[in-house]
Amino acid sequence: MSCSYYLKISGMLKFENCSIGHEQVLYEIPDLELDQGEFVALIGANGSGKSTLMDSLIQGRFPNGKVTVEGRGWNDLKLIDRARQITLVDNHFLGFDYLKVNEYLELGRHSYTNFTGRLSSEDRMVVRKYSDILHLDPLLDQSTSTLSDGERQRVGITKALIQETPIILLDEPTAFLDYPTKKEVMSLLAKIAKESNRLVVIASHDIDFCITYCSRILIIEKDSKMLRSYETITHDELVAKAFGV
Amino acid sequence: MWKKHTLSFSLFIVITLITIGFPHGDDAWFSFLDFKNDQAWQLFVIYRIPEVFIAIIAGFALSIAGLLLQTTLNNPLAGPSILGLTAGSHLMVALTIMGSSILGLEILDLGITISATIGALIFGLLILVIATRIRSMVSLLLVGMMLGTFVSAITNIILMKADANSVKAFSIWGMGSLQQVSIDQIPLILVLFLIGIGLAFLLTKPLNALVLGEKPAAILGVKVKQTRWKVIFVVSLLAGLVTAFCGPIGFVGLIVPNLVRMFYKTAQHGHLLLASGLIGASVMVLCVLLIRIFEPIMVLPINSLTALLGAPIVLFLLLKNIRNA
Repeated sequence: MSCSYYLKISGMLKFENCSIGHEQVLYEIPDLELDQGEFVALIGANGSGKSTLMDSLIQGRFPNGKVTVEGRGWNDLKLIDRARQITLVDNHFLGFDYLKVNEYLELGRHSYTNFTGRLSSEDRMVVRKYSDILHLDPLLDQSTSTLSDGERQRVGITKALIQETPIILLDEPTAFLDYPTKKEVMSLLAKIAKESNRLVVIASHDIDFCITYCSRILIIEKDSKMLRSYETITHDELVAKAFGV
Repeated sequence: MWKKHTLSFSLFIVITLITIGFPHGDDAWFSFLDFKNDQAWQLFVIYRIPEVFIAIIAGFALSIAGLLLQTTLNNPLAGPSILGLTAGSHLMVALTIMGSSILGLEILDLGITISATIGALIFGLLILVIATRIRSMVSLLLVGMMLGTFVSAITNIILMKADANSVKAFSIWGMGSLQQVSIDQIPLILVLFLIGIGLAFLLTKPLNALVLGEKPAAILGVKVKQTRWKVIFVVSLLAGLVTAFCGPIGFVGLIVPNLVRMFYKTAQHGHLLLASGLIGASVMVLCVLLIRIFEPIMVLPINSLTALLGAPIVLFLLLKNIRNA
């Protein structure tokens, strides 16, 4: 795979004494540094606040503590700058009858186009490049509403790559997928993180896949209500810390 | 896509030409081209041109307003009339006509347009606030209809207190008509229309992203709240302009964008805006033609005609949505 290469930045995404939660604090992140090229899993029980962390990153809403991306305060960045730094692939998108796959992918260049939204030849090349890499050619003219779950996930990941952000968040990217497709998606994400030097963070319940493919695992610990980072962990230890069983 | 635009444009031109040239009484087709027939020319300039012109403007503007609302609220059943924006214009125009009658002031076209726009704006903002709390398409539709009924009741109460001339002026306006525009009003209407359409086309980029929903659009860098405000302003201007000069016209803003999406099969708003405008204008000019055809038997009110064409399509869309849900 030949993706855009980013300069290796240590501490690409940094948290310092942050509380996560909109109306009530769900958990704390004392001190955490995530680097480019890492494939990170975020694991926690249902309702523990995995999606809340992703939403807070997208919205730039951290009530306390400090979050920096490439050394810049995340809360202070303009929306358009945030759109060039972090993107999110969630699995709520089910497609629309009249939205074709190529139109959907082109939206990934939204933050790079002028007020008309017209794609430059360079933008088109980026769309073309990632569609080729993820073998989406046969799907480009198809309606997004007719895609299978696996295809939709692949299309969503491609759009995130087209957005060319150094950080990609994915909320449960393997939910609803069968075993071979889960494996395919996880291997693809690991490859993207490593070869294109991006920071890929997934929220997931597929513990075994995360242990196999991810370079680091973040656990929202049930007892301590803290987010802690592990580079190596066994299945049983993970289950005990995340779910308290 | 451009082939489809060519087809839509050709359809628009054909319907417009047929409507312009349709014979009046015993006259021949395109009788105004006969230079010896001065009466036919007078009829053409005084009646035909303003009527077809306002039909084009109304169809274009209402369809674009409907498309903007449908994308912003993520609701294919949204439209300026069904969500109560037209009712807001209705109320404000009633207040303006009554107020100017009480104060003994002459009502200017611009005054009516501004009051209709403000009415649509107030109700547009109200719908926007309600839409953030109600996600169900059908529920939002019911809220809009309730607002419309509520406003009609207030308007009727106001009319009870009005003098006979005001009631007459308001009743004629309220029935909806494409024959109330005179040729000297065309420049004002054209300027306001071009401003509204120009602003609508400037919203193409955020609208394309809003198709995905608010959160995905924000991820792409769209200022969602700001875009919603802009949309409501443009919709109010377009719906207010049409309501001021033609009275309340229903269904066009709702059905045309849906037909266009079915035919064009795209979510690109550059194309959808242009196509909705062209098809909307064609539908309204077609209504003028139907009125002409049935003229010897009866005078069809424009509102009844759009309702006859629109109601079955709305029913179809409702059933489709319920089935999909």
